[in-house]
Amino acid sequence: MTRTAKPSFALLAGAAILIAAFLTGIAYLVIESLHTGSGWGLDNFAYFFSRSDYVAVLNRTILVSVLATLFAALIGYPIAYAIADYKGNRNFLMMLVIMPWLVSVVVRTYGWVVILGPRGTLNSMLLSWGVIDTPLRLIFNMTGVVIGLVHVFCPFFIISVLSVLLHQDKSLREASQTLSAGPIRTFFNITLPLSLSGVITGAILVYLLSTGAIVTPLLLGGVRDGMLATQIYQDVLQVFDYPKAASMAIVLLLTAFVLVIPLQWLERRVAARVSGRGE
Amino acid sequence: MRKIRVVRWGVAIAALSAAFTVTHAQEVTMATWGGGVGAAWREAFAEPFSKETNINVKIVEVPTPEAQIRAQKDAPKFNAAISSLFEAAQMYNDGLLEDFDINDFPALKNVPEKYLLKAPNGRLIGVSTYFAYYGIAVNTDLAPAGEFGSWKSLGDPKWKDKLSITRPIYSSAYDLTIMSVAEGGNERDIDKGLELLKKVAGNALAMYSSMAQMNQLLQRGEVAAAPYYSTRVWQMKRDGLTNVEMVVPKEGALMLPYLVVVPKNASDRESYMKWLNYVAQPEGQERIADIAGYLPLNNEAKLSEEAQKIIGKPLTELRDSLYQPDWNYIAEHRKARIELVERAMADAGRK
Repeated sequence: MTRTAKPSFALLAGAAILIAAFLTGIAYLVIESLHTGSGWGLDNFAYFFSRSDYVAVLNRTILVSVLATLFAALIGYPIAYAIADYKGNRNFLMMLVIMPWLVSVVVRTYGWVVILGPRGTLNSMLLSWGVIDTPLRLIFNMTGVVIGLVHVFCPFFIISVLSVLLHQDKSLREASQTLSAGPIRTFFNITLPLSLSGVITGAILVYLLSTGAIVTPLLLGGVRDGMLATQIYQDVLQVFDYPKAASMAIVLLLTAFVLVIPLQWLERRVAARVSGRGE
Repeated sequence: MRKIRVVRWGVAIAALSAAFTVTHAQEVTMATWGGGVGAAWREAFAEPFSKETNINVKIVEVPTPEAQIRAQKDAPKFNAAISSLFEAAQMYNDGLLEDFDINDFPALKNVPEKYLLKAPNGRLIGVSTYFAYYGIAVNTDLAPAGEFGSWKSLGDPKWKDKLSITRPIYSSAYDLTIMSVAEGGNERDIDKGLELLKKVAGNALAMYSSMAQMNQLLQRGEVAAAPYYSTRVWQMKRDGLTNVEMVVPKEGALMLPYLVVVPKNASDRESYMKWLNYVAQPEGQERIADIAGYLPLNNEAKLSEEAQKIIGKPLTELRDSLYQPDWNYIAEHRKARIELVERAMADAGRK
């Protein structure tokens, strides 16, 4: 009895510390965001929404994060599927996926300037082949930010999906094909629905990480491609306007919840359906 | 026997405490920016000062010295920091810096009055040491330097997507001021300057957020020109780059004096006062000019031939051609100016 009680208490204590730290942080942010020059109030939030350029930054943050999530899914799922299906040394492939994490995000992001910049490798090649007359603008705009975010965060999506695919019962796919379903039908009727929980988890991770990205938008964005996290960074570390920064952080958090809560609900429904509890 | 042992331990502890107190009392810990600034300070000032006085100087490179001073408001770990004038004025207004009697620093009599930052009570906010200037850096592979003889040329549509610009926090202090001067205004009269800045932002391919990023953009030829710091171009030229030039437009460049400030209630006054006196002397200022291109504010300082060759004209002539705004005014209106520039940049390039 004692043996089983101790680990569960330890787990509970760990979770409690995490939740307490999270709630303390949120409480601090809320209190700070309500500070005004003369007392307390919602002035910082009113100011944020009165600034059309800030609202544009918020909208851009959501759009860029959604696009990054979408492209991470489109690129990451086939990679995860290929690794799960690989008969050889799967660990080696997984290592290749996570290897970019060994390099600083700043260095990785600078790499894109060298490849995609107006004087980068790709533009130089296309110009020398006569394919284009003037360099394509592939970075220092929203496209560049999305490319950079997908590159940095795609491994999170791959790992989320891979962990689900690796636990799928392969006999279900074999049964489907025995019942004369082709590989495409089997994929859409069996593999994809059963891996949806991984897809949703991966999407939540990539979306949340994208909304909080600072380095990539700074290095690959243009003059009008700032995101909310970069604005918060500037207000904390350069303007030192902590109440304003806190109010923007709260706005970012609430925006994230608007997308993440329905996704988590969907994830629970999918999980219940897959396990048969939702039938 | 036991008594003797206790006494020995007591003596040892007292000696250790005394040693610690002495070490602690004889130290200057100074915050500087990174990107080579810290290394230059060590070589030009810290090492010679330590040899001369036996006071250890620890130079700590941080992303923003101002952020450190603000974060350590109640318990400062630094007893010196490098700062620009507008940042120092803002910090002083927020009660974060010590002020001084100018008579405590005899070497400052050789620094022109307009480069000293004074509080409303007439006391000195830090010790002005050297200056850089803010002009136009040009990649001469992409455009002749003569194309940027005026700040207004940056607003020409032919430079669309060929320029870079700094972030609103700095452009609101630097670019907005000098572009207003170019348009016949000054740091107070900024309407026309803001319009010019909006045009420049509309032409900008990228907004640089660090010196390393801007150096890369310029060296790789991703951009043809940008409002930039003279010291960075100096360092690129010193490193052998021949295709980067610094232009002082006909309306003048912006004078950027730097000073060493002391956080409020910083420890070890005796050491930091010696240090402040040392950095006001011409010798260290001459050394840092050779190392990093920061130019002396002390009139007694003489530039080496090599340094003189890089700036291309007598130091006093260069200094007199630079525009020195009222940094206290800029600091007082910092937030409003940042908001103006943020809005202008958001609108930039829109038809």
